[in-house]
Order: sequence, then structure tokens, then C-alpha cells
Amino acid sequence: MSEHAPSQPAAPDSATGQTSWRTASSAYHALFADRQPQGPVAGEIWTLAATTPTPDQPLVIAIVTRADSDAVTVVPLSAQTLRATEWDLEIPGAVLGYATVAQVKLAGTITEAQLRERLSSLPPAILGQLHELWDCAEQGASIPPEHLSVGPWVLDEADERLRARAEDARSLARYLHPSFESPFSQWETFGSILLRHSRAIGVDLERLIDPAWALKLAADRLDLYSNVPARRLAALLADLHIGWSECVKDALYRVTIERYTGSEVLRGAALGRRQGKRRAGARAKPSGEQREEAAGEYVDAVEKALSEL
Amino acid sequence: MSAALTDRDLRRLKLAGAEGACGDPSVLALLADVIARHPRHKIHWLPDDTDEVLAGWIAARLFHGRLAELIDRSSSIKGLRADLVRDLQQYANDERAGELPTRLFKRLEALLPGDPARYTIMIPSTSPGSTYWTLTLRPAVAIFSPREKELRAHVHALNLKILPQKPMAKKQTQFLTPRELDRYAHGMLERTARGLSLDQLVLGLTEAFALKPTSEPLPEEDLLGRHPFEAERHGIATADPPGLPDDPAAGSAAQALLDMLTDRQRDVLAALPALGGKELTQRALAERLGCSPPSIDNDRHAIASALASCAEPEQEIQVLRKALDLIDGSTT
Repeated sequence: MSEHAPSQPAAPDSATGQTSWRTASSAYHALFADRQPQGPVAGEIWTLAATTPTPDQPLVIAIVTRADSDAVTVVPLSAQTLRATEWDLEIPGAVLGYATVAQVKLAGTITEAQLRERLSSLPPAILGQLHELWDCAEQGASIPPEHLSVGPWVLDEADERLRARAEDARSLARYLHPSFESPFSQWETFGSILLRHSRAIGVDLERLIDPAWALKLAADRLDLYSNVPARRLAALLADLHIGWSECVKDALYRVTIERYTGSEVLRGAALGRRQGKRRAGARAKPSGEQREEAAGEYVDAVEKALSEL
Repeated sequence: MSAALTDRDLRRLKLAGAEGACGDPSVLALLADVIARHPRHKIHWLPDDTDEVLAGWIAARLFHGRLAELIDRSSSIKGLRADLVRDLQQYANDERAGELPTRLFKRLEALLPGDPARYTIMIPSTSPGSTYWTLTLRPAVAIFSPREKELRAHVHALNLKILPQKPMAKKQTQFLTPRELDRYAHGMLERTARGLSLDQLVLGLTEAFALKPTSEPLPEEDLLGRHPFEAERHGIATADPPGLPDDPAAGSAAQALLDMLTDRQRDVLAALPALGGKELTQRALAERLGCSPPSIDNDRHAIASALASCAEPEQEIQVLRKALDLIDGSTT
């Protein structure tokens, strides 16, 4: 060793006695301080102030996912880990010194001027998971991949975590411009509702309905009107303990409109009539009006079938 | 006195990692001051001695990352003090509610066998907590796996109406009215469509509402058997919290890095956390090491080059972390 007085040792992690990730991250930044741009880099964790800050106002802690010249995209972190849903990535306590969750659906953009202190950075593997979750959210997936370290699924629209999410979204409005139109989009598709209820009762969809249908149903890719008789769908809803709420009706209406291909062959069967009837021009692409009409008929037929179960 | 802590100190604590804040004298003084100024009647069930309350508060909440989080989120000492006041009250309320899981267990233990038209035993056990229950009118054929993460999600989905705790009251509220507790038991068995043990029913509530801190140390495994009910395990996480992924190659890369550095470069490396946390300036470090500030710059560049040659870009922080451990002698 040199003869100089040794420097202070690095701050140890209180749990392991080793140098904490946060300290190492700070040291890394100090090492390259004169080379790197001083602005934010993807994967770094910063505190940020409100768009119009007021004295003593709390700061938000967030992960930078993208930094352009005019805007910085961030994913807010919450220490309310008990409120984590399947769209919140668990961030190990070692990263900041306390456990947090990255609320991907509440992500947004800010200006660089709002950033205050650089606190830490995400290990590459966790940043990779965050990007994966982000991509799923961006593509409108109703359920993220199983291998990601996220919170328990939301299984019912009454889940109070959705209310907590709404409150978080409201308070974050003072800090960022939301990246996702709705923080509740995971509940808006029919496939998602089916999947969540099948998870809730611990029975795979494939055990309740034709496996070929199940996969497409879960992904909202099945033309229900042409393939699944209303009675069959009503029975499935009952098997899954799904109540006939406005949310379910809306979701069914939307997916029927979206996937309706206009086949009239099974029209009668779908609506529970004894015989189907082919109409002239049935193979032509249906108009918006025809889709709406078909969706309305189908939803009504499912409702009727449910009442007869 | 708390006045010793300034907004500048707050920034220093953040940049230094905030993890050591529980040992910082000025922070401890602020915490003691928060306790001393808090209206006594709002926390009257806590010990009279401020030091005792401080020790309990730190052990139960602040030491486990809560203080670091509050510091990170605060934009000023005034804001931090306001957050600490709320956290102290929460600690006091939690302390008072400590017996709640046991009371809920006893209430559910009385409720389920008391209504055979609605609830029936699915799998009997000599331990009340391990007895599985199902709905009489719709008996389940499977049990809810203890490994499933969704127990808490089912509780949240029921949207229970919780009776608020009133700190001023001599007696705690019962948390859930009898009707709401019944709705909970029935709702859980209906929603999951599977059998649930009494332990699982209580665990759902303790997890969803954080009725018992999960950070408390686990009891010795052999002690668990002596507890009257397995529900004593409330609050023990069912799954390990995610940790940082380990990079087995980082240790050897860190040693290779240190082997490439001179003694002074190692000292500069050891000082990087202090430089990053603004606890130390480059000039002060140069004085300490008996060289000029530009020499420190040269040393940093040499460390950066050595690091780049020993590790892939995505490994660099992990290797740096291991190298700091090796310098500190905290790993063998």
C-alpha cells in the first residue's frame, strides 16, 4: 500500500456488510464524471420535482428509461410494495436501500430541469426486465410474461389496488405527462377478464373450453360471433364465476365488433336459434353498422343464455 | 438539536446513499426532537422514555429502509420532519395493533364452525390453523396452494370496509365488523373456488393490510412448533424477496482490476464513493494523498481504462462493487 492516509471505506449494505449497489453506482458515476454527459442516462434512478414545484413538496423517485434532448421518460417508483400489481416490477431493496416497485403503467415524460438528485441505477438484468414489461404495456398486452418479478395479478375489477393506482396517477399528474392513456387498460379486454378469473379459481381456460379457442380467447383474437355459440360462452362465464357487469358487457361488445368477420353460416347457432341462414353477400367484409349490429345481438344473446342457466 | 440538520445535509445524505442515516447524530437528534414534540396523548401507549421510543421506532420501521426512503423523497428538512411525524404516528398505531392478527384468528376460529349452513370442514387437522374450510353449498375439490401469490389479490378484490383505528381511543376497534368478517371468509372461499385453511384466511388479511411488519426477524424454526397455532407465522413472507442477480465472474474481474492498479490508484478507487457522494472534493483527496488534483484525474482515467479491460460494460458497476469490497477487506 502507499504511504498516504487511506480513504474512507465504502458505505456497506446494512444487510450484507458488503458495499451497497447504490454506493457502487455512485462511485461509478464519479469515475466517469468528467467524460459522461451530466444528464440522465437510461437505467439511472433520480428524484424529480413537480412541474411547478412548491416549497417542501415531496419529490418523486423514478427510473429514467429514455432521455432525449426535449423530454425524459421515467417510470415512478413506489415503496408501497404491498400495492404492487402484475404491472409493477419489484426492485430489490439492494438497489436503493429499501424495496420499491416500478409502476410501469404510470410512466410519463418530464423535462430534464425537473430532475434533482441521481440516487442509484438499475443492474442491467433488472433494467432488461423493466424494458420487457414496458414493451408488453406498450403493445397493449393484458398480462405480462410469467417470468418477470412482478406483484400478484389483479383478479377483479373491485380490487382496491386499482383505486390506489388511480390515486397515484392523480398525484403524479403534478410531476409528469402520462405515457399510457389509461393506467387500467389491463382490465379492459375480454380475454384479460377470462384469464384473470381462470387464475382466480385456479383452473386453466384450456380445461373449460376447446384449447384451440382458449388461446385465441385469451388474446382477444377469436371471432366469438362466428365460433362460440352464446350459450357456450354463457356457460364459460358461469364456470369462471364472472358476473355480468357493465365492464364485462363492454369488453365482450368490443371484442365482438373487432373480430367479427361477417360469416352468416353460424349466425343462427351463435344466437341460439335452431337453424342458421345464409344471406346474400355474407362473405363480404362487414360494414361498421353490421359489426355493431352483430355485437349487440351477440351480447344480448349471451345475457339471455346466462339468465336461462 | 434538529436545527443542526440543514437542507444541504439532506442532499449530502441522499448522495451518500441515506443507508447510514440511522447512525447520523444530527438525524438521530431530529428523530428525538420529533418524538419529544409529538403530542403525548396521541401515542400514550408507548413508553414514556424518549430514547426507548426512538430505539423501538428505528428497529421497527426506520432501520429497514423507511428512513432512507423518507430522506430520498424529501425536498427540505421541513418536509422531512412532516413525514417523520406521520411515520411516528404510524409506528405507534402499528404497535397498538400488534395483537390484531391473533384476535382475527380467534374470531374466524369461532365464526367458521358456528355457521354449518355456510361453512364446512374440507380437510380436518389437529391444528386449528391447518384445518381447511370450504362452502357448504358449493364444496371445493382442491385447496388453495400456499405457494400462490394471489392470496393477497383476492383480499384486495373483496374491497373490505376497514374500521379506522383511533389513536385517542382507550380500546382498539375490531378492524372488521362481524358482518364484514363473515363477508371476508365467505368471499374468499367463493372467489377462489378452493378450500382455504384458517391460517391462509388470517394470512390474507395480515398481508393485504400489513397488520404485522414483515421485516421482523424470523423465529427459530424449532420454536414454531411450540406455538399454539400456526397462525403465529403471520407476517412471514411466503416467498423470498427478489435479490440482486449475482455475477459469479465479478469477483475474479475485481481482483484483476486491483492487480492492474498502483497503490495510489487503489486509494483513489476507495475514495470514489465519497467523491460521488460529494463528501470529499477532488482537491481534498489530492491533499490527503499528497499529489495534485490533475494527478487524481489521471488516476481516475487509469482506473476507468483498467475497468473497461476487465469487465463488459454491463458488468462494470458490479465489478467496481466487488473491488470496493476487496479494498475494504469485507470479503475474503
